[in-house]
Amino acid sequence: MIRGALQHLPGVGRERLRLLQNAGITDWRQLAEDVPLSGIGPVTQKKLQAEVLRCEAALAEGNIRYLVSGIRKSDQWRVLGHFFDHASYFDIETSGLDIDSRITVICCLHRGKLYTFTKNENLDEFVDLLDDVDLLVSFNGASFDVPRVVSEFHIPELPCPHIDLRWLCYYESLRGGLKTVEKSMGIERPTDLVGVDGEEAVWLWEMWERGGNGKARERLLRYCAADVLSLRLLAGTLLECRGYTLDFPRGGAVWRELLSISSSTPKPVVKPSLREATDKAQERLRSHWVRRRTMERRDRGTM
Amino acid sequence: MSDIAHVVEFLERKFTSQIRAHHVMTEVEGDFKPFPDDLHPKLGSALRAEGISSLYSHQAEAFASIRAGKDTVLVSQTASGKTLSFLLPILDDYAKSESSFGVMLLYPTKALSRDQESTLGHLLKSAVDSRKLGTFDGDTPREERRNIQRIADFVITNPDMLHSGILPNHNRSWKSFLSRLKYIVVDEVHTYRGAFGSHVSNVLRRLLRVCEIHGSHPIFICSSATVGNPGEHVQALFHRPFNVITNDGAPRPQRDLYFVNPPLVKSHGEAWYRKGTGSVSIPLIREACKEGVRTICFCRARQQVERLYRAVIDRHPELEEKVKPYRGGLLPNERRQLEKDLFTGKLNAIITTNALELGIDIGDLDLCILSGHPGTMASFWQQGGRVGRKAARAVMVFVAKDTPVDQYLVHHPEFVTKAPIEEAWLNADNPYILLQHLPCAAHEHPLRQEEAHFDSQAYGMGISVLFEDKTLLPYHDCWRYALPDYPARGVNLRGMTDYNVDIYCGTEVIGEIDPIGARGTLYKDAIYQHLGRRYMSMELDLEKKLCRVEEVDVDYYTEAVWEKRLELTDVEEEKDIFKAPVQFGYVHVNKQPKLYKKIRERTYENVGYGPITLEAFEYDTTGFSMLPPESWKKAMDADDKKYTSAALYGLSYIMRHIAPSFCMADIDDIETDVYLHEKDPLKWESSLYLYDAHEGGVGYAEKVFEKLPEVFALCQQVLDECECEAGCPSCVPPLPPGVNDEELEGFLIESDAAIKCTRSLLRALNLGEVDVPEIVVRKSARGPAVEAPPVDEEKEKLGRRLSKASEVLKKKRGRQH
Repeated sequence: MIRGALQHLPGVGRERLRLLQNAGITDWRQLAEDVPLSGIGPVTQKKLQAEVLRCEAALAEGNIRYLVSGIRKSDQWRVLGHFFDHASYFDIETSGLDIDSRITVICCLHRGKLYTFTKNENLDEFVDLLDDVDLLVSFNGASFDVPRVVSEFHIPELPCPHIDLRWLCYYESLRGGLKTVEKSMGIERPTDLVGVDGEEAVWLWEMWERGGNGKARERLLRYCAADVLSLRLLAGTLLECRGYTLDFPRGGAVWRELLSISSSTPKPVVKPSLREATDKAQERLRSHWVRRRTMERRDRGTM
Repeated sequence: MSDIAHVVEFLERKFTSQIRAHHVMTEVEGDFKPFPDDLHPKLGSALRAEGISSLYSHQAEAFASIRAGKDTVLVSQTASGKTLSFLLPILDDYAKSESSFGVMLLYPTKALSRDQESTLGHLLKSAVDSRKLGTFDGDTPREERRNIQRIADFVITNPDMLHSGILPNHNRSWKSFLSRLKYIVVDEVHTYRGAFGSHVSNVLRRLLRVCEIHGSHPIFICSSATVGNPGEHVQALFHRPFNVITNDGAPRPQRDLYFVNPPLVKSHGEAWYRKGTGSVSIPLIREACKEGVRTICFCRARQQVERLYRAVIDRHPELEEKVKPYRGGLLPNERRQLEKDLFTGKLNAIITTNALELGIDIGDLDLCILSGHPGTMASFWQQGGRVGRKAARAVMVFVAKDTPVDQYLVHHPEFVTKAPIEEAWLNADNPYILLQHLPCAAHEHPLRQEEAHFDSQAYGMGISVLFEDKTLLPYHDCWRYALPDYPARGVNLRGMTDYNVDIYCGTEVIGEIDPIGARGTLYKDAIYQHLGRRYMSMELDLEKKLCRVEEVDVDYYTEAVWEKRLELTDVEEEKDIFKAPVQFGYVHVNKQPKLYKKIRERTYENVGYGPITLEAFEYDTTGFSMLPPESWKKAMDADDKKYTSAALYGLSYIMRHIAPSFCMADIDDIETDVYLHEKDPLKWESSLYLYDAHEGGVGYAEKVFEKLPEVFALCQQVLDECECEAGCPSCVPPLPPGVNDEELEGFLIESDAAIKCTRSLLRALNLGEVDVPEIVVRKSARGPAVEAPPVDEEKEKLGRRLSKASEVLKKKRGRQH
């Protein structure tokens, strides 16, 4: 099915793509033959054929980077579908939403296993894990997670190819954030994590770092991990809709890896000396919840 | 008679006996060349429209060199059309080029770059139909910044902004500009020397590395005032060979250079002292204002500028609007107003530090007064070059201070015109400086195992140190920056400290100063002068970076007395000079301002003391320690043990003044002192220390260490040629500074030991001869007249007790209320 990606080939625009599809061409290998194509000159055809050969070579070598960088965003789901077993999913949480905020937690589902990386503990190890990743998948990572990873670790670029699931959703007419998309697809998170969002993640981190609250740390990690597990389910479900047959956990098994997040927390690096900070964070959390509940009630029309 | 002729007549009449020399530099005719044949016609007509029909020879030479794609340095005097020299070939390329390219123009100071923007914009507009010029510095508003990053082809900036604003964002906002950067123009390249030069050199290494990442290979075009080694200097700065253009083809008017030496006068008692430079410059500035002659007067220190200004307007209130002080530490709007007033002629005279030495356009001036030698011959000519840019005649007056170098110059006026200009020196691989830039470079892009722009040995060592302290982490055969901060923020190119202390009065900030300067000038009760007003420091908080001052009306200024402790911690290199063992290595310095002196303005009498309670200032630097030759010391000790100390303090004094000329340092870049040195385990002996006044060392002491025989020879010459009988501040004063032993102090004041012993030590160091001097002790001698009368212990004690009692009474009254 990956060979159905034609739009990135030289000389193929939206109109030409329609003509090709009408002519029954659905595989780039069909273009490698020297059959005259109406409207495509010999020079462009040579370029087109060369690109097809390069894509074939990349497929044979498993050169995912070449395919991801070459193939149009609207066709990238084909790469993900083809290399679904190679995909690693990741998500980050930060200390705030402004430009200066730092990464606090990273979760990565890599080769079926869940890895968590926490600031002040093992955050740097994520860079080592990246070297082992064949294809990195995120939701909205192109504009949020990846630039932050690059600047957090002072590396010039990601060492592996990256696909943003947001585009796949976009072409399926699924707009909005991950939670909205989940909702419209009927994906349900474990009950304790329903309603947790990026803003709460900021308070949770603050409660752990400044207040030493181990429960907050655990909740944050579980939340981040749930995002990542949800990504796999989302990708799998959408790709199956497009005709792929894939093997991935479904139903309750989706969240099984959450159990691997230990409830035993390490000693906080910053001692819980700031009682005030904890109280303040909890207060902010409370008002956040009140606000949220008010809004929900308003949505339901009870107010 | 023209106005300037009146002032010359006044000078010659009033200071007849004090003028030691009058040197006339005759008018020089210009060497002109026609426009290059291949010059873009649009540029040719634009130049003709401005009344330029030919180029100076050096401009034509620069044009050919730059258009051939060579890294070029242009050495010429001020007002010789440097801007056109580098701009014309660039604009020619720009006009002919199919795709636009980037040009970065680096100026050493923000003030200078602001000044250049108008000049360049004018030229650009007349030659190329483009408004793609922008100044990017700390004052550029945010919206304008984005605009510059997006569309500008010509970006004016300074090294500090390049270091902390452009390079850290090379991958984002500056990517497009840097990827098409073709020319880097570095103006006033001679200012990039010493510690500052070493920093800038590393910033440029980082720039070239980043350019390479983005696929550009810019060439450098530099302009420099005269330095002894322009080629060597730019090569040290940019790490590549340059085409050096030194033939200055610009015409110069006749210039008169007067050497004035204020007279030695005898005060009450036996001591002689030389009148200050103010005795000449004050009447001269007043006369110039009266005649309407546009004047600039250069002083060495900021507070000296303020004091001279006060003295000039003292009892001459009509001059208050005609003369103004200009120096670093003023607020930007104050500085710009002064520049503008001078340019428009609202101001007649300006008293300044070297802040006005560079090419800020302040219009044409007629008279330049140098209050003392500025430290280097290069500065001497740069300051002197401020006059005679357009006028028919210009006058420079050098007024000698009471220092060895100044006195040497007035006695050897030919030295000024014949002596070679100092060499500029910098050490880009200075470990301390390199260690600050490697993290910045790693932050910009991971560092490879070997980087072509860095010296491999220093680089390798730097990397391993940074890896050990976990600043860098290995990443894909490279090193990436491992800390969450922004390393460029912690590196200040212009000093050891990375912040300024704000000086405020009431709620208004009136100036700023670096923290080391603050320790020495803003301790509690210090007098701080600002644009002619006097303030007293009420509170200095180095942690909060604030100093509160209040306006006061007093007739004295203050000077801090520092206490120092030195230790040579690591020996790197050793050598003997006529059996005098000299060890070069790392020196640990512990400095503390202990007390301050109150000195009355005009009379310079010492009118009191006060304590300073600030924490010690400690740092490690490079330097050497020299013990006198064993045989010489034995011979001296046989006569009197005090002779060795007398000689060491004498030598320390003269070395401090002589050494800067050997390494293009300022006198404040080098320190000398006499302190104990562990000759053998647990055996301590007095030794002469000379070290860099910069943390980590900058290579000044290293250069002096290399050239020690020449330094000693010059010291000897200055001593031999001094006209004094028993020592004077021009060679070695009877009581050199730093002596803190009462017995030795008394002995030195009463005798001619300082100069004779120093001379004897220098003979031993220059010729290997040992001769014990015959010291004449004058029992009738008293302390130098300029010193304060001895403090009356009893009176002081009584005063202290009374004020204590009054304090207790006050408290008691408060309680009763």
